[in-house]
Amino acid sequence: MFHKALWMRNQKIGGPAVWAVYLSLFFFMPISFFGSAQNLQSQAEHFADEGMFLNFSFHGRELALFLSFIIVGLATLLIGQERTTHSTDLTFALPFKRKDIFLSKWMFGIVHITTSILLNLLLCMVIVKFTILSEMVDASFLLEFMILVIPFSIAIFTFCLFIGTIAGSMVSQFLLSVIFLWFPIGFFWLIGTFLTYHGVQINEVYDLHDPLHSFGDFMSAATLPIPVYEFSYFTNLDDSVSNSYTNMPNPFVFLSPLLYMIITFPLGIWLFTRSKNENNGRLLVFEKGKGFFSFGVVLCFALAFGMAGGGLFNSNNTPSLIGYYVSAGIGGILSYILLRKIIGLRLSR
Amino acid sequence: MLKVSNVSKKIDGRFVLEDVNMTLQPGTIAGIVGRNGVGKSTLLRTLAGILDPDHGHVSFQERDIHINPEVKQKLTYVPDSTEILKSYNVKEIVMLYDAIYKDFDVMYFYSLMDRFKLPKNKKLRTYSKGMKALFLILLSFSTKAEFIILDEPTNGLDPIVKRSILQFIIEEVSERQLCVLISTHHLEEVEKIADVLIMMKEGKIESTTSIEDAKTSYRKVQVVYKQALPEKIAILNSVSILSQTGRVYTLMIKGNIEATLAAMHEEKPLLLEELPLTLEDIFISSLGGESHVS
Repeated sequence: MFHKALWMRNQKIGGPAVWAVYLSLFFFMPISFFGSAQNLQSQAEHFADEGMFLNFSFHGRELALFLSFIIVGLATLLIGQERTTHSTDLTFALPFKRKDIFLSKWMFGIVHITTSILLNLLLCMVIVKFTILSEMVDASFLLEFMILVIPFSIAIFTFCLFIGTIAGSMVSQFLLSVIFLWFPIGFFWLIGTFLTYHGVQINEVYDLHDPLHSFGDFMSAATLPIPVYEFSYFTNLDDSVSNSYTNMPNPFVFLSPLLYMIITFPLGIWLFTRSKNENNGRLLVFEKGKGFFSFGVVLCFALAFGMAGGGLFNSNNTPSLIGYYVSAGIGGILSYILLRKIIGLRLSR
Repeated sequence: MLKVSNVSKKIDGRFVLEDVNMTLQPGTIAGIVGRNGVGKSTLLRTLAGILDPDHGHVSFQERDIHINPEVKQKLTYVPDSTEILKSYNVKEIVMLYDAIYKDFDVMYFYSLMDRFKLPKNKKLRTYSKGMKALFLILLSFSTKAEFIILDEPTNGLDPIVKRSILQFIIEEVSERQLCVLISTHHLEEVEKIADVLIMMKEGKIESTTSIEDAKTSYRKVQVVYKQALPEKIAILNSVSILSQTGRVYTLMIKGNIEATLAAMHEEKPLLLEELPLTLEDIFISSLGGESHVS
């Protein structure tokens, strides 16, 4: 149910991140397109007689990285900031259901993310239409990009809000969101290295526009920013060699944001309605998941240290299990000690 | 009417609230007192729906506030932190509260701001701590809530404003028959304005009585004997020592007042006189003072 008051409250606390979403997209899309068009126009005028081939390309990588961070920031402002500043004492004392409070935050984010993407894509289309780009670019790639970036951005935002329901502060929500957004591909690398040290070789190369046939393909599709990161479009004006292409992921990859949404959206609502506000300011809101979380953190740190330090004792390209396990042990112990110190710490003001 | 039934809450494996029961009627000002860490703020935050009880429930107008938070249209909470709305200016807060509370009275709120001389065209962060506390109290009363929870409301207020705001609370309660629950360490405030005194100890409600009843069930005396306080008196459950200077004892008698005084007279004191009783004396003797007989 829509509550105007909750929208106003979200506008106040999430305002800076909303501006950042609009401005970053404006910078990475219309401004960048306009700059390319000006550049191509200038090249066309100066080098028209020299038979120079003009080309235009668009990559999703900068946008994917920047937008992901800003979306994480937006979700963090909407939930984590309230926990850190204890503004939850205002929000949770209001005459609204907790489910409605969560839904209002989700709706607020989704509306702004979608609107900003659509507006900026529209501006890009206008730029394509009224500049030199109209002679060489097929604007339909922008529609393909829209079909890709909107569901993935919504899934990233939903996932980060879900992380906000378990993280107890702004800092922990931001860090856990970034870590878990990249977790599938990161964990795949860690496991891959572990297996390599134990004599099992796995293919760590992934390819998102072929059918998903390897574990690596699945893990990279499951890492939400990667498909947007991998999107690219290229075209040139050389009539003899048609070299236009759009690097769009396989349709199966779209199952990834769908699955993220199906799992994290209802789970986020469920957890938010059971929020343990007495733990606000801590690393985690719920005490029950602490054991599992700690085990996961120690395991990942051990694998990461093993991966980083395992090569120290290698000889003649033969992996050294001793080096791997010594490094892994150090990583595990250090992370365990650190975690014990910070898990009960209250980061609030 | 607000009813708290068997509410328990554990934090970090420790019972912060244990089987708390209380009922507060309209037209009442209740003061909740207790030492630091006994669970006062946890109880108030549970009543406001910020924290969930592990057991029991809180109902307002016979509806569970955690299941039906809509009833909080008529129940507001003013936290002890004055920082929650600091990024807003007055106009934004008024618009926000007008959108939240159906009965929020904008004109009344501005009239209260005039009455208490609060500046209207400023951000809350530019207010002093006392001004913020006052602002939040006025905001809360302007929602026309029937139950208002105030956690340490007068912290930071100067004595003149404090007096005015306490007077204002009394006026509001008598005019609108609302109920105000105040948590405070300033016992003289409770003494001035509260009808009901709720004492908390170790997460439990130690007692809920009217201020008058509380005062009649205690007696403060100063007593001097030839030697130290007789053992016969010292072992009485009804007697606690508030202070001792040489052979001069200040004692608090709780319950069995006449029988205890008679027992004291039997021991032939050099001096035995009654002293004026304050809530602070009751607080110290009930909730843990300097020392305790028995």
